[in-house]
Order: sequence, then C-alpha cells, then structure tokens
Amino acid sequence: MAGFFTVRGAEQVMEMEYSRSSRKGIFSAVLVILLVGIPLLPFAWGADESTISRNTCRECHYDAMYGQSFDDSVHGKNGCQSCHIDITDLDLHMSATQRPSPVNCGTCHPVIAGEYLGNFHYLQEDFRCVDCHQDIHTRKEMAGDIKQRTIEQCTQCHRNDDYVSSGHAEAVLKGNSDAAACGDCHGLHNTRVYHTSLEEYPDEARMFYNTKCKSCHADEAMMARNDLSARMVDYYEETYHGKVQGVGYSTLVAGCADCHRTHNILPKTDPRSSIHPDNLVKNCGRCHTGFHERFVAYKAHPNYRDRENYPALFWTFVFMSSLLIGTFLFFWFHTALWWRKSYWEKHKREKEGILPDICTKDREGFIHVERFTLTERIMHLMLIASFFTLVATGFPLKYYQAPWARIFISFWGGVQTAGLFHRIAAFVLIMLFAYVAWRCIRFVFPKGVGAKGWKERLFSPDSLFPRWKDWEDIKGMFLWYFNKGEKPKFDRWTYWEKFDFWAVFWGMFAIGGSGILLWKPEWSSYIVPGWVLNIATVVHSEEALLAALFIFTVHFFNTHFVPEKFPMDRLIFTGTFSIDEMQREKPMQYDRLVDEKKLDDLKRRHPGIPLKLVSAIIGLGSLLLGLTLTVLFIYVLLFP
Amino acid sequence: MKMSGLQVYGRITRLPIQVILVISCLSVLCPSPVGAQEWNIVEAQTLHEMMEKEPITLVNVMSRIECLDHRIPGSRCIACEEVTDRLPEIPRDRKLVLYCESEGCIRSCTAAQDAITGGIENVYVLKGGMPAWKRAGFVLESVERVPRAFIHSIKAEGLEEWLSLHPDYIVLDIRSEALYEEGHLEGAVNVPFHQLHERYYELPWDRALFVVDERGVRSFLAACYLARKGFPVVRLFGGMEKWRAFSQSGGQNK
Repeated sequence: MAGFFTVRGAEQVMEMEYSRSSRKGIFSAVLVILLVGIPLLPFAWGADESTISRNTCRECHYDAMYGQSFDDSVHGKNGCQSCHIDITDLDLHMSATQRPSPVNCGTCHPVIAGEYLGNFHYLQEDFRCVDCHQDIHTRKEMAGDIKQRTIEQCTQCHRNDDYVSSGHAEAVLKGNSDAAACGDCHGLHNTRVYHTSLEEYPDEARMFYNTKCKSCHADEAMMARNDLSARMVDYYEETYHGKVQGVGYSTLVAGCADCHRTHNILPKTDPRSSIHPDNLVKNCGRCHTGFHERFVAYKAHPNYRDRENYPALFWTFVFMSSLLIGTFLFFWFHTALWWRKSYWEKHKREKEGILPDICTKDREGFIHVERFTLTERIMHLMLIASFFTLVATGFPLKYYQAPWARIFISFWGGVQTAGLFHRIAAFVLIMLFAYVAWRCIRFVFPKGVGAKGWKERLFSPDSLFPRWKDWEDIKGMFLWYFNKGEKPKFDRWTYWEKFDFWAVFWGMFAIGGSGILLWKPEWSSYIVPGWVLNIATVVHSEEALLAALFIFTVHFFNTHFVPEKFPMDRLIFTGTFSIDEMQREKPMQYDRLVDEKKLDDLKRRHPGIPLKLVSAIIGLGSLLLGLTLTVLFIYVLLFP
Repeated sequence: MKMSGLQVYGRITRLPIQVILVISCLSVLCPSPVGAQEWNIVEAQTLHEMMEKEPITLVNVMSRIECLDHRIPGSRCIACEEVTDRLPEIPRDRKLVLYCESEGCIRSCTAAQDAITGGIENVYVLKGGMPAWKRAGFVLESVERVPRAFIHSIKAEGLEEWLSLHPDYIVLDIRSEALYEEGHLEGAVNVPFHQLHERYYELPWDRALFVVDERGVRSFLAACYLARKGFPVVRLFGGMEKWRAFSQSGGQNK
C-alpha cells in the first residue's frame, strides 16, 4: 500500500533515467511534515498543519471553490498542504518548479484506497479520486440518498437508458435504498469489469454477478419489506439450471442475468420485460433452439410446497415423498426385524453347538445347481455398471451443495462428460429393460404354444408375477420374526426378490420416462408443455433416491448382509448354489424339482477359483461403493 | 489451493503429456542457430529492484499523450509504432525494458520484436504491463496529466441510431493505419493515437467527434485530450472489437 497514489512531481523526472536522487524530494517533504506536524499533533485530524497558510494560497488561487466554499466543506479544517503535500517551498512553487501531483487520499481513507487498487478505472484509465469526486474542494457531508448520487455520478459517462428505465432504477429514484444502483452490482470503489455485454461470460464473472444478485434477493428482511420472496433463489437452485451452476459450471446454464437480463430488469408484468409472457419464446430462445413454443411454460423458480400456484408439482412431490417414506418405512422395518431374528437364531445355534445341515444330510448337499444362466448374470453385471454410472453422475447434481459433489463431477471431467456418461448408462439400462420385457412376454406366451395356458404360467412358481402365496409368505415372515411360527417355505422366487424385480421394472417407467423427457427437453416440448419438465425433474430425482437407497440398503441386506450370507452372496455372479442352500432357502422349489425329476438337469460343476475370486471382487467392490454412497447421501440428507 | 485426490490423480495421468509439452516448449525457446532472439519477461517486483540497482532504459510504448499522462517514473515515451524509427535514441549499453497499458502486452511485444530486429540486445517486457505495476503498489509519475472529463460512451447496439441522429459528428478512428485499413466505420477519419498530439489540429474545429478505438480502453483518454482542446466528444463503448462482435451476431445480443 505504501506509496499508493503518491505521484512524483514533475521536477524530479526531468532526467529521464531513474535514479536514487529522486527520492530525496519525498524524503525532505516527509521530514518537513513530521517536524511541523508533531507539535501540532494535539489538534490531530482537522488541524491546520500547514507551513503555508491557506490565505497565502488564496492570494493566487482566488476561485470561489477555494474560498468560503472550501472552509464550509467536509475537508474545510485541513490546510492546503494537508493534501498537497508536495508543495513545500512557496518560491519553488511560484516559479512553477514545484507542481502539485495527484493527491494521495489513501492517507486518510485507507480502506477505500485499498479497494480502489483493483478498480478498472484506475488500472486501465488511471483515474484518481478527484476524477470522479471533482467537487472535492466544496464537498459537503453526504446528503440525500447515496444510491441516487451514485447513479447520477456513473451516468455522467455511462449513459445507460436500459438501467435508468429498469425496476431497480425506478425504485432507487423513488427513494428505496434497498434497490440496486450501479455500485451494488459492479462495486463502488472496487469496480470490476467483465466482458459481459456480448455474453462472453467467464466463469468468474458469472459467479461474481450471480453472487451479487443473491446477496440481496436471498436476504429475508430486505425481500420482506419490499414485498418480494427471498426464497426465489432457493427455488432456482432446486432446478437443473441452479444445480449445474451450483456445482461450479455456471457458464453452461442460465444464471440470473441470462433470463432477467442485466440493466433492463423489469417485473414480468411489464411488456418490455424479458420475462413477460410475450417475450419468453425469444428469451429462452437465446440459449435453447428447436423447441415448440409451449416449452416456455417451464417454471424457472418453482415452489414444490406451493399447492395453490403449482398444484401439479405439489402433488407430484407429495406422491413421490410418500412413496419414498412408505417404501422405506416398510422395508427398513422388515429388514431390521429380519436381522434381529436371524442373528438371534445364529447365536442360539452357536451357543447350543448345532452344526450346519451340510454335515448331517446325505452327501449330495454340496453339489451345485444352476439358479442364474450366463445371460442373466451378464444382465446383472450390466445393470450394476449402468446403475452405478447413473448414480455417480446424477447424484452430484442432485446434491450439488454437498462437499463431495464437485469431486465426483471432476472425476468424470466436468458436467458435460458426466451428462454424456449418464445418457450412455441410461441407454444400456433401457436396452436391458426392453430385453427383460421381451423375455417376460416370451415366458407367458412361449414360442409354439401361444396364449394357451397363459394364466397357469403367469401364476406358476417359476413366474415373477405376485400371487396369493406371496401375501401368505409376508405374513409368515412377520410371524416368524416374532417367534409365532416357522419360517415360510419359499419356492423359486421369494416375495422380496419379486419386489426387487418389480421395483426396478416399474421404476423404469417413472425414472426412464422422465429421463427420456429430460434427455432433450426442447424436443420433449413437441409432446408435452414445459411445466411437465418440472414434474419430470421431481419424479426423476426422487425416484433416483428411492432406487439408490433401496438397492444400497434393502437389496444389499436381503441378499448379502443377512447373517447367513454376510458379507456377500456370490450366487448372482457364479450362477450356482449348493443343493443344501437350495433346500434351506427354496425348499418348495427343491421338492418340486425332485418330484419332476428335473434336479439332475440343473446340476453344474463347482465354480472355479478364478470365477469365485472375480465374483468376490466385483461383489464386495459394489457393496462397498454402494455403502459409501449411502453414507454420502445420508450425510446430505441430515446436513443439507 | 487445496487439491483433491482426484485432481492429483488427473495430474498424474496427464504427466506424460505435460512432459512432452514442456520439452516441445523448451525446444522452441532454445536459441536457434539462425539468431532469432527472444525478449525476456520481467515481473513488476523484479523491475523495481532492477531500477534500484542499475541504470536501465525504460520505455512506455503507448502514445505520447498517454505516456505523459501517467507512466512509471523515469520512462521515455516511444510509441510502439515509432520504435524502428527512433532506435538511435535507445542506448545500447544497458537493459531496455518495454511496457504498455494492458495486461496482454501486445504493444510491448511488437515493440520488443522491432527493437531486437534493430539489433538491440537485453530486451525486457514488463509482465502484466502498467496494471501489474499498479497492483504491486508502486508509484507512477504524471508529466502532463490530461484532466478527466465526463465523456459519454455509446454502446455498439445503439451506435447506428446515435450516428443517424447526430450527423454533425465525425467518426475519429484512433487505431493504427493497418487496423483502420482492415475495416472501419463508414466515413471514419483515421488519426492514430500516437500522432494525435501533433495532428489534432487537422480536424475541423467546428465539428464534434465520435472517438473509436480497438478495445474501448484507449478512446477515453483520447476523448479527454480532445475535450480539453475544445472539441465536443463522445466515444464508442467497447471499441471496434465489440462493434464487430455485435455486427457479426446480427444484432441479436441486445
């Protein structure tokens, strides 16, 4: 800061090359001030510490502004030399050898001087304090509204009709000091300049201006006294635009100024406003192309909790939330009871020394039988890969405010690549879904048989379709949890396995359908109006949370973490399990296969070590990844 | 700045590319046998120390008006367009440091190239120009300060309308002749900024001026200078750069 604003007098630079001698001038000036100033210290600020009296100066400088106007001014208690410190010798000054250089106001106004170091006017045009404060000799105590004075000052050069006719300016000129004047967005003394007028927004500029808008529009007290909502910023941040911006890619999406524009900000009721209904097609069209005009029915600041203004969104939100709460209430309760019961039984067996069945039954128990074909195992692997990709690319956006969101996004190399991977994974998942649907149809209507006997097949034990027995099994399980009955005897598919299947299958309609709409929102506007995209966003986002948490907690527990199988069941990767396990877990299927004499056809070789190892690595890796993600999600849900 | 694990991972995977880049850059910087010499880059702090230690030749390559208005103490004023003609004025026995007003230092670099071509060794360019010098908190000197005036600036989108409403204004293009030849506003008169102090009286005294530059940062001082000489002046906000971008976008970016 030292030396800032001090500009050397001209007499010292007569010799063109820089030399040490030029320092003597300043040194002697400082010395004089110190010698004369110290005795006057009791007067401190406001004391006339001049060696040359102001009346001496007035002998030549007789303009009105140096006379009574100066004495009455806010600086009136200073002598001329308080500011013009480089005039030390009257004779030298009068012979035009000692000329005043721009005044260092930073001596008394250090904070403002510090801010001014980054001011564009200073850096590029070498503006000094007096260039804006031209009335410095007659300046009075700040009277009236500072914002009105700022506007008057800036518009002397920066004629800005757009701003002057805007809502902000109108409010300021009517005396509302909450509204934004030039300095509130651009900075008063630290004026920043970004090349924004032609949309060449660097990231830094975007963040700078977005922050400026939010600093007022998220201020509860200020918005309340101006009859505006301070929640608008939050609502924006819940949308796709807001989330991408929030995760650090503000140049890729619409920020405040993209829709509301910069200087000509007006309420949407004003026909000149960029967000007036008549101007929306043009306004949205500045970024989006190839959309139907009902695209603009999209809500940029929707409030999910506002039943009156956004009924469709409100009810979607309520429905999705209840679906989530209901599903988790049931299954987490179910899981907890199951764990308690299994753990208790295991403990009892260990305590009483009851050995596992394998040692007691006939020696056929260790032989493996097939449960999943190679195709089904590959399908499940593809499902895992696409599911994790979708979660790891989608959730950083959903929880953009989480500390881990940016790490995830940078892992993918930015939101654009993350978006690309999200869509690739979505494509894989949709293909899997289509293939499963086709297999389901083929199961009920097999080749060469057609529709005949479809009902029997649909409700057969090999079918994944729910049947009456599943209801009995649910009741049976709960009775078993409370020691009120034996564990139900399951056939090929248990009810929770069926739920896993149907949850994914039905979930695909919700999450896949909304995802396809959001894939290319401009094209979707030819099918649905823009507000449906708001709904699609809620459905997609909430269904994703449901799916991810369900898989990472309920599915993981039911199939891998139950005490009998902890830490994991390799079955889905190896495809086979022992006859013992089948007898224990699917006794009805075992009996059925024995009766039908089909068990021998299903017997397979014991899986080799390589397959077992690969299965364990993939399986445990997925489980760990899933659990880590669960912790991250719960962290966000608990500390939003 | 804290670096996340993944960023570190990214850095490591990019290492081979960086090595190749560094090697190729170094190979460019190596003095070739033909004798294409490069100028040196000097930071503001280093320049300050250099000035304390030894006599150097410090040259402000802006126009004379700008240079006299504010410059690093002890500078000479040689506009970058004049370097080749004024080579004899530059002493050969000491370091030559060139600087300009903008952070990009394009003018300093052009001047440095001309000086090297003219056979001067030990050529330096101040990194970040005068803004860097100011940011570092060092002093400037003013020899003939141009009083700042309130000069209206007209934005590119309102230019055509404004000019049609003010037919009494002459468009004064203060860019170099070369840039002017490349393309200029209709009816614009060209007086390059570095000649303005000796040619302003060629302009008709009874007309108002519309000052145009390349990037919108130099026209202000030129306009203040002309205002001091008695001309009514306005200037183009953002310069020809913004005007071109505006015309190329078909006037969409209002």
